[in-house]
Amino acid sequence: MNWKELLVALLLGLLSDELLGWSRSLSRWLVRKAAARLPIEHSGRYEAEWLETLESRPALSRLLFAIDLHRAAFAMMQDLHPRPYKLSTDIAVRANDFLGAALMLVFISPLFLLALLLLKWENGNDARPLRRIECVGRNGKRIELYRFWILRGSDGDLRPIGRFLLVTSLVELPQLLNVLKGDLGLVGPRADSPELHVMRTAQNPAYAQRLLLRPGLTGPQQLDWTLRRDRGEFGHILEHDRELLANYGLVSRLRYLWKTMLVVVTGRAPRPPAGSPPRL
Amino acid sequence: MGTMPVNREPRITHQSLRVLRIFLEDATREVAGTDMLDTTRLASGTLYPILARFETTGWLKSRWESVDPVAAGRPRKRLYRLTALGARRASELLEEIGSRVIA
Repeated sequence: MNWKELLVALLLGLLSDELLGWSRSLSRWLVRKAAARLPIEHSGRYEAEWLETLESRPALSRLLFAIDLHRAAFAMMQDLHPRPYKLSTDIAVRANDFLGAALMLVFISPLFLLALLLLKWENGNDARPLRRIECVGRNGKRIELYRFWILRGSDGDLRPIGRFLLVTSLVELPQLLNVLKGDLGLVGPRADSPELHVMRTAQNPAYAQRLLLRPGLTGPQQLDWTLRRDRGEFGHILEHDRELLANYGLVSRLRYLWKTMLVVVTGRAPRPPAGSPPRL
Repeated sequence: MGTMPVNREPRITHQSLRVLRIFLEDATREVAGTDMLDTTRLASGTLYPILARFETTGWLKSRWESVDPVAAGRPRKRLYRLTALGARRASELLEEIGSRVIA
């Protein structure tokens, strides 16, 4: 055996040792992730059950066991919430979301970093520049949306950077990260806080239908100039949801993205539908 | 997934029959997931959806093993067993399949 073979054997030995050590924590992480794909009322039980079962599996099959649980969670979700759309449509939509968000993130990353640094400077070193907002996601899953954290000065006023981010809506920019993660889509209903969701579902049970879709950065509800934040006509929101549910797919998505781009570029709200009251 | 209403029949497949057979040998037996994986040689991604379906339809029920995890030095197991409904329906089903094979 010459020195090259010895070196390779040594490296392989080290590598396999390292991998075995890593595979345990990796497996546990994968199991937790698989359980988190289930609805909240089931995830706790299955996490405990699967972690226990993981420990009693032979060492070599643990990683496989953990990976395959993601297939289990997928099938269990299918049983609980049968998929309303074709799998191919879903994949195309998700691919469009992921690639779109990734592309935008690459383009705006200098702006993003600049905003982060400036906010860090304006908020002071102790405050984090990003905050998380709890919302209801697809199939009722709990998601956390990222947002720039705007703090007010000691006099209660907004400071220049914060005001700029708010006025330009750039404060929502970090939600592109949520799109990458799969919590949000580029197009979909506006994400609700859990309280708002419960309230509106109590008002009209049909509202829960929107849980079939991922909430989105933009969509008919977000583009509707008559709806501002959480106010506005409830009936209009239901109408927008119905439109999204009926036209789920790449074509309608690209249409909404185009409309959004026009609004962003021209800075003008879309024209109000004929016969609606004048804007106040 | 015991909170779901019991109103549907589970989907019976080749794999789910393999799971049922474990319980039918002794209807009072309580089995943990890891033993089922060994006996049926199913992958975890196949086994757990089957168990969840049987639980939803009330054929199986499960409980946490009643040991103190600290005293035992290991986490508690989740144990599955056949319900009365499951025992009846499963033996009917296996009989039906058996007679079809012979005929």
